[in-house]
Amino acid sequence: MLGSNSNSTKASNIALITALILAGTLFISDRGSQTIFLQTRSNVEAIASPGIKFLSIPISMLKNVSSAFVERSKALSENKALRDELYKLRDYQKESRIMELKLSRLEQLLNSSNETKKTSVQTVARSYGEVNSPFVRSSLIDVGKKSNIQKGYAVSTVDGLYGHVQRVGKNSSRVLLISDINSRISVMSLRSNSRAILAGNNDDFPNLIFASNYEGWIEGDTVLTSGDGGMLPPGLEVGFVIKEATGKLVVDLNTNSKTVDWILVTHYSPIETPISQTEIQGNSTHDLASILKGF
Amino acid sequence: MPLHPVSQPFARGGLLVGSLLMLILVLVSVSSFNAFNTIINFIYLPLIGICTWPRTDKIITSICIIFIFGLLLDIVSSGPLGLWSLIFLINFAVFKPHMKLKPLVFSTAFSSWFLLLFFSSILIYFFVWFSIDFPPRVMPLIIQPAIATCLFPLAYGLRHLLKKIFIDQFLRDLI
Repeated sequence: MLGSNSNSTKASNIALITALILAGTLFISDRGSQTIFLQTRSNVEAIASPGIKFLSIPISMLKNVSSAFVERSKALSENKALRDELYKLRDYQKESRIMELKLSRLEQLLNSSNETKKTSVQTVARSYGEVNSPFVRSSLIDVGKKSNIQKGYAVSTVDGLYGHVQRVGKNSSRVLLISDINSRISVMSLRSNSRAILAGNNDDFPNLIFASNYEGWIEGDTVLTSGDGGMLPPGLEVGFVIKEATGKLVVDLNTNSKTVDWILVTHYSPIETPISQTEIQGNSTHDLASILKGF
Repeated sequence: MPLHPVSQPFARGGLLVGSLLMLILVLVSVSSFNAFNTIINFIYLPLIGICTWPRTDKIITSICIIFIFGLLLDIVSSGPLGLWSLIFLINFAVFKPHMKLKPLVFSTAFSSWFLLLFFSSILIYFFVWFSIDFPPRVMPLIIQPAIATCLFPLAYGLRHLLKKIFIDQFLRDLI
């Protein structure tokens, strides 16, 4: 193709160079932000998702075979551990009932509502296109606008938080995993109540950054979503703290090394930003002006 | 003159096979599963479509198709737009799979696949570095090409099947 003198070869050389320049320009402008053609992306994903779903059937069969094999090999030891856990949980259940009763009475006294009731709406969906490439960690799920899914909704598995909805199509949505480099969520330690930001790094172990109190984080701490910023519901389990040899705090995610098939989308509306004082003043001036005009 | 009427359906059928193979590989490439604590990913799989691109004189059409499939892969894998188009087109320009002197046979395809894979891995390493501002981990760049290599015979078999379905038997061995 390159190096020949014929007209068609020249034309194809020009076409190739044009395509390379176009691809390069798109890549440079979309690098980092990925904000170009958002609507087109959602539409293409919606069109491609039935195909991906269909072609992922043999892969999900493989997935089931491998997970069945692993589960069977662990069955005996897990059975024993589960029995022990069950005995412990019976005691916790009793305590929890008493606590629940106390809490509802206190709430009645204080005249406040239980916040967890807000997050009770959940949609079950199937994740079928998880991408764990060196560039991005995301997944496609088979619910979209038709199921009232909105951008920002928390996506979790039975093990814990998986990610949040990044883009919504008609029948499919793109989930940004918490391990993705662009993911930032506010978390807290269950033990010490210390706050931090969980920053994805395209690795299985995201970093804990901007910790409010570094002493408040020790290895083995359970990490939960804090709900700070109002974007995600509080109290969703994320993972456990690990301290690296360098002293850096990372989180071993609960969803690591787990087959993610069925997921739960939690419908959670972010807390609305209060109207600023200037806005109120602006509005009131406007109202006053219109009232005066009326007179 | 006798070559002209033959080359047209040959080129069309070849492009159809190449495009269908690319489409299937792109859609499969976004699936992944977890086996024995390792995430098995197929993101390198569409490169097989470039490696086994049919012999054709429709170069501009090939470039357009490859560019579009690159964009499709960028979208379905939620990566930066243009990245895979760039990788596919650079490979297409360097390895010129459409200008093979002889019809493709498995041994030749498999040996050229290693060369293409090595070159692509270097490209991907630097593009990802440029994209995320720090060097990516090397392990996925070794595991994922290895998985794609394991699946190469399967993809080659699929190409053969598509050839049998869409190309006349007298022209089948030419691409």
